[in-house]
Amino acid sequence: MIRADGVTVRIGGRILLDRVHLSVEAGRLTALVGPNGAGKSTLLAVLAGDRRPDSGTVVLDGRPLPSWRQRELALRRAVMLQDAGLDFGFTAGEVVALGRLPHGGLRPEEDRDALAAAADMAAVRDLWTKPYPALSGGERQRVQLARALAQVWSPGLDPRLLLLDEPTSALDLRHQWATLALARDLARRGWAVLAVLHDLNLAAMADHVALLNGGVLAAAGTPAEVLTPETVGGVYGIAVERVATASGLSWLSPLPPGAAG
Amino acid sequence: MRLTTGLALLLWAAAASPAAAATVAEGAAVAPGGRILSLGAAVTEIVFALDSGDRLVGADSSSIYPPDADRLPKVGYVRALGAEGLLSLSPDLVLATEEAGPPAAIEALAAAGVPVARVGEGTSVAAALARISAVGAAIGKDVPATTLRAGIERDLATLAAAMAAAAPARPRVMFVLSAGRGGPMVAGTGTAADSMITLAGGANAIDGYAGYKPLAPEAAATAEPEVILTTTQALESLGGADALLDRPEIAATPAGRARRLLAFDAAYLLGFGPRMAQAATDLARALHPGLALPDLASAPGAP
Amino acid sequence: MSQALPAAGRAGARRILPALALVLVAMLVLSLVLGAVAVPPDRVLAALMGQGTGRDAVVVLQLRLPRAIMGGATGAALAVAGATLQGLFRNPLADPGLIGVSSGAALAAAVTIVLGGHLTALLPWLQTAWLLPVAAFAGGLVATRVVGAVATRDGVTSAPGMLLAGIAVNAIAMALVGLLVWMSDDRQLRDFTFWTLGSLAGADWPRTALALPLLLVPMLLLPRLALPLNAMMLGEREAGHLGVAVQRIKRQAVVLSALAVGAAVAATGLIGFVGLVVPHLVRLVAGPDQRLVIPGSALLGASLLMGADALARTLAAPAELPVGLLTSAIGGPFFLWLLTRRAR
Repeated sequence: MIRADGVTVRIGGRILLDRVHLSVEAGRLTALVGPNGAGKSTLLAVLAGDRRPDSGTVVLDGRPLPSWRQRELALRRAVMLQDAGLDFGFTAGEVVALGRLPHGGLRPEEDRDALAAAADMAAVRDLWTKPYPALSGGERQRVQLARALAQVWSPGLDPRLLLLDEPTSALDLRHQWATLALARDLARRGWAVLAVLHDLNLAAMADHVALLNGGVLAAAGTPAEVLTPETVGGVYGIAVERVATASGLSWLSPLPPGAAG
Repeated sequence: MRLTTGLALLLWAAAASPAAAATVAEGAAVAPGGRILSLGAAVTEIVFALDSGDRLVGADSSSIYPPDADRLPKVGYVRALGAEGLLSLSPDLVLATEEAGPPAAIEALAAAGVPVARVGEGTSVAAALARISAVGAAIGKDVPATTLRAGIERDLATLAAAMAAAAPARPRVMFVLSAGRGGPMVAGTGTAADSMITLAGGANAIDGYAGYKPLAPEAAATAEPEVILTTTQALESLGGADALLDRPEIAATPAGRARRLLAFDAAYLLGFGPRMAQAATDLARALHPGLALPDLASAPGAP
Repeated sequence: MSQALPAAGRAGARRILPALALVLVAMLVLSLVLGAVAVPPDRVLAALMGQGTGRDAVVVLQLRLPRAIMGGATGAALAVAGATLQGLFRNPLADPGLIGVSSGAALAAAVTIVLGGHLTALLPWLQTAWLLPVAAFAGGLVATRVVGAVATRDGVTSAPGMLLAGIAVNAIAMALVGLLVWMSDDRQLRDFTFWTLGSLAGADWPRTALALPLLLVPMLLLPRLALPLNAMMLGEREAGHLGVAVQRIKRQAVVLSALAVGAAVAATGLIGFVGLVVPHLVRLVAGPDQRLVIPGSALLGASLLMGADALARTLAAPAELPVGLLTSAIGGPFFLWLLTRRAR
């Protein structure tokens, strides 16, 4: 659905992204992983249209991103950034409702349905009338997710593009997995979902994993191809081993320095 | 709702304000030219000097002389008047110096049918005499105004003649208006103090600038004043003559070393009102202690 | 479909606009009835119907009515600009003065008061009475233009950059005002001091007619920015993702607010408190939705200034108090009261 080709971004003399290729396909949950400073958020900003690459192109639905009108884009894709601060006492429900802004309030019925669906998907019904500034970090993340979902929700849940920057960083275990399950579920329905993730075991739930390191795409492919102890250990600079759990799951686990290895 | 409760309280406070007590009932039968509202200290003093103080129904906040003027209802700072407040005193005539404003307030008086006489506000002898004539004409006291003018002119002529005859040295006088944190505010050229010092046979020690400016210590030294002149009000706020004379800018001057300080009432010295000849003569006596000056014929009384 | 969601906004928030409209009507009545001249309500009504006579008619139609209108429009303009800029800067404590408009106007006013004599001597056709408001208006807009230009790079205006540039421009303007104060004589100093306290005493029909369009146009246009401004409270990037033309909205909000504040300051001098706290008061009751805060601030700002001016005209009658003193004296304790009630 959206493709970055040879995207390079520089700030001053520093290269943040170096000729990165990434394709976020419909029907697939793509996880973007990498160490701190690898360029994950920069790449997400390029895909969201916030930042023009110094060279390279971004194409959405076959059209170059800059040719999209802003409102058109807002109806096609939603973005959830890391912790959005808010100094004004909007309720959680009001924040979610802001997601319907691009629809212009022309179909109130549909707006209402969108809010209800988003509230259920992100599990924020209980937070609805609470002031946003009083919510915990994890609750805020869920509210922001609901806002993004409300923005691109349609009655048929037609495929859209969802760009999520660390949507699970402040979530508890249950909500982390619920969020990933939701993202995967939307992908099954034909959505294109990109999630920047830190937890590699969450990333393993994705259909496709892109591993960034120092602004360069170090590896891309299925989780089984990318998330190997060798690749991960090389990029993160820490020994990693794959362990099998009692229930038969396979888990990446870092080895503390000095431990057997 | 909280908001409405609060604003209801405010409404109540407004309704209970002392405004009602301050308003004046309408319909009092006053002959045209009867009730006078005076805007400007110089004008107020002239009205009293023309024996018409009893016709005043109000004045601006600077009108504090004579003492009866201070008891009049006050309409506030002469440059920030409210038209309705002026109208509430039901004046038949408003006497206003040129500075009275804002223009909208003065224009509104005319719109309400109240005649307004504007009077110049210069601080020269000629301007002061013209002011007396203008006020006299406006309030129907032309003859007393002419008499008052003539007395002042005669007194000033007497003073000038005495000074010319004796031809004393003209002492260098520095006028200090006030002394705050930024150094004493001292009179340059074109000020009422400058005019008064000249009338009294002195020389303004400061001739390098116009108006009032804070004095730098070096400037004070080069000015070499022999006499420090100030107002009693300034001394009061400073806490006495020593407080002024001991300031570093002043202490090093000839006047500071000789501790020669003169103080007069501000309105008396600088007002250029009916008492100006008296004030000039008083200042001349103080500046030239050895000189015998004749008593004044017209003197309406010093403060 | 799942069960319906509760309303997201605050309970009763929508009732605030009719309630504030009632307050405004009450304040209008109050400012037409109250005054140093005692005019009984029935004669006020007669004057308004065109059946007044003599002094009643002049007092009600020429003095009180234009003042009430000017006061209402000024208060509304200041409050609407404050609400807009607080939303734009995502800071509930932003003051309209932050974009330099007040200090620019103050500098121009000081120049006019202190050096105006030289100016009119050179150009005798200048009308001194109109020079001050026109200069203050222009000075406010120039200062805002400078702030905007400093904070803009490659067509992108940075909100934090505007705040910093505003602080710098305010400091420079105040330094120049200090220089002019130093140059001023006693009377000019007094004039300037009174100007900084604000007054509606100069509000007659010609001045009101001149100021009214400049006050009303921004006030009618700014509510159209309410939704995009709501989105911008989430952050500028987030608003952009929601389809908001962030740079255009920012530019419009700043220009319209500067127009409103510039016209208000030109008409009445500096009137503090209204632009800062009125939007805050509305937000305490109605929540932060700009669709309520902007019109609510217009109504409350108009009411506050009208009421304050009615008191300014009567409390010290026949003299007048500077209205800026009263807006703070009334608004401050009221604000504290609301804060303590909310804290409980």
